[in-house]
Amino acid sequence: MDGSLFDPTRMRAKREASSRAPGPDAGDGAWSVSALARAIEHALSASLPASVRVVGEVSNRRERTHVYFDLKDEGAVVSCAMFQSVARKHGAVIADGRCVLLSGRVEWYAAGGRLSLIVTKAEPVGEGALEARLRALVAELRGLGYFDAERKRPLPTFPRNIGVVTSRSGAALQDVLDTIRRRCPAVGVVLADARVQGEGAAAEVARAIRTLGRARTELAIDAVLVTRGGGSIEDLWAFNERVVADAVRDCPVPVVCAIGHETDVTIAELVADERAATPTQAAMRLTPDRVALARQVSSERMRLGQAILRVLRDARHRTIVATRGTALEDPELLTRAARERFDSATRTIAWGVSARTREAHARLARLAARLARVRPEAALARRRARIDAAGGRLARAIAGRVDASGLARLHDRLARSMGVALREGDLRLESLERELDAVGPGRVLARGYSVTLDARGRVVREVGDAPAGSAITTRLARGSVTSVVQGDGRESGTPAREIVPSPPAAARRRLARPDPEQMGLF
Amino acid sequence: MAKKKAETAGGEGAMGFEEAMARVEAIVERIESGEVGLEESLAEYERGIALLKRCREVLERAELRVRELSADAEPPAGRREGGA
Repeated sequence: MDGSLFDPTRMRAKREASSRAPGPDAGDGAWSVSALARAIEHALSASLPASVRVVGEVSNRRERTHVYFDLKDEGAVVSCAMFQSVARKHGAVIADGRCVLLSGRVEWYAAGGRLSLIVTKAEPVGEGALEARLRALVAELRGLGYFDAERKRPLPTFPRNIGVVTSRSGAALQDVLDTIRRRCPAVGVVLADARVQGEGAAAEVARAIRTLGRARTELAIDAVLVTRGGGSIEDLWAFNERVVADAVRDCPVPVVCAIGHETDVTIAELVADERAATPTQAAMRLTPDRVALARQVSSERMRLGQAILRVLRDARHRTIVATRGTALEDPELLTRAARERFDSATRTIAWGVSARTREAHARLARLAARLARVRPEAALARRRARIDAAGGRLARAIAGRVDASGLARLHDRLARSMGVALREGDLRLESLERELDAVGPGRVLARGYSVTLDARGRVVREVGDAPAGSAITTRLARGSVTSVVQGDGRESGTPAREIVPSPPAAARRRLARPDPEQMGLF
Repeated sequence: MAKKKAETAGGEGAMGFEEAMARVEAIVERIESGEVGLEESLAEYERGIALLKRCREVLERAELRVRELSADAEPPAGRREGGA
């Protein structure tokens, strides 16, 4: 017992082993297993500090109630256990292949014959390495033009559907859906679920983006939104992988990325056509404001109505100018053709429009009835949605009065302003329709003009259209008369009076003077 | 959720709001230019009104459609039955 005599630890261990630790059975000097296990436990507690800090690489992570894994280096492996309470805070750091710094105590589990490190704290090591890798990839992709401004495509202002790549169970998805529902539910969502962190996440995200890209025509997808909520650099790492960068670059429709918090910038976001700070903001960038669009629709309706009104007025104006210039000669003859063409055109269109509208309405009603019979689940779903919505409102109202009333007010305002925009459009449209009616064929007939049709229902425009002996029908404001042409009147030198019944005296008198009612229209 | 065909994706003649509005714009310009005759103008007007009506219906839609696409390379679920 030379130098070791001066080693206090060895001395103490020796002392304890001889005094309290169990030893071999008296008889043949053999130990029982339990005795050996107890001896090991003693030896450990005597020679190891209560708490150790170890650096190594994680492998073989498995999770039951608690997290179990191995910590290794080139020469050794130690089993580790992280209890649930600790795992809640530090569990995410334990990933296979990652280098970690663990704090804990070594425990001997006699019943299982195992020695474990009971982990109380785990920190990632080598974050610098991860960042260096990120920098290298950014530099490489920049060189390849992945981030070039010319590559960025404009986002659609009203996508028919948005393809969303995120976790089905994440809060980010809810934020996106809530935003679209609030701003414009007409924009549909096609969700491509993908794990957004952990091993294999990058491949899943990339595959989801590519699947949406391929389905863009069939599902009318006009943009893709790739998103996830905040997390550590490791959590967000999938979005720094080359596969994701390639999928975003290759996507045939514009891509918006919102990964993590505003301060985190991932490669996916750099490659994307546009980057947003949060899932909500990303959804807002892709969803139009329907109140603004409703106004746009109304104003376009106004423009259309005014354009057609101008066309109708011009046609009438030409008729009147012609009448004025030749009123002394024979007003009817000179203006008849133009008037008739105008009248018959407007009448044909007006009848056609209303007939087609009625027809369309009837068809729509029939289809709707059939649809309702065929798909009662649609009606059920609607009712269910309404009940859900009512339930949601009730829940919100109960949950927080202040919050709920604010939300409800906002919603009401939204609904009102949209309603106003639509109603305004309706009112203006109605007045336009009245104006259209005022210049329509009905009014012209009411003033005493008439239209003459031949036996085949074609408008009689000139003498040749109605030879002597043919039957003609004259349409008046109310009803019509049929007559037989006696002659074309050419030989008498008075032009074609017989062909078309003249307007009544009152109307003729009115023709001679400018018509105050007509003038009023211009 | 996954199924609900025709009218969801390309059902509206596959024409989106933007495209319909662009067409209305073109119609208005054609009528305003005076290049087309009276009858054609009226026919165009009618087409424009129909397009605007559809745009408005799109805006008034209240229910958000959410479909889910399985991430494998297969065609999207729920769009196969029924055929086109």
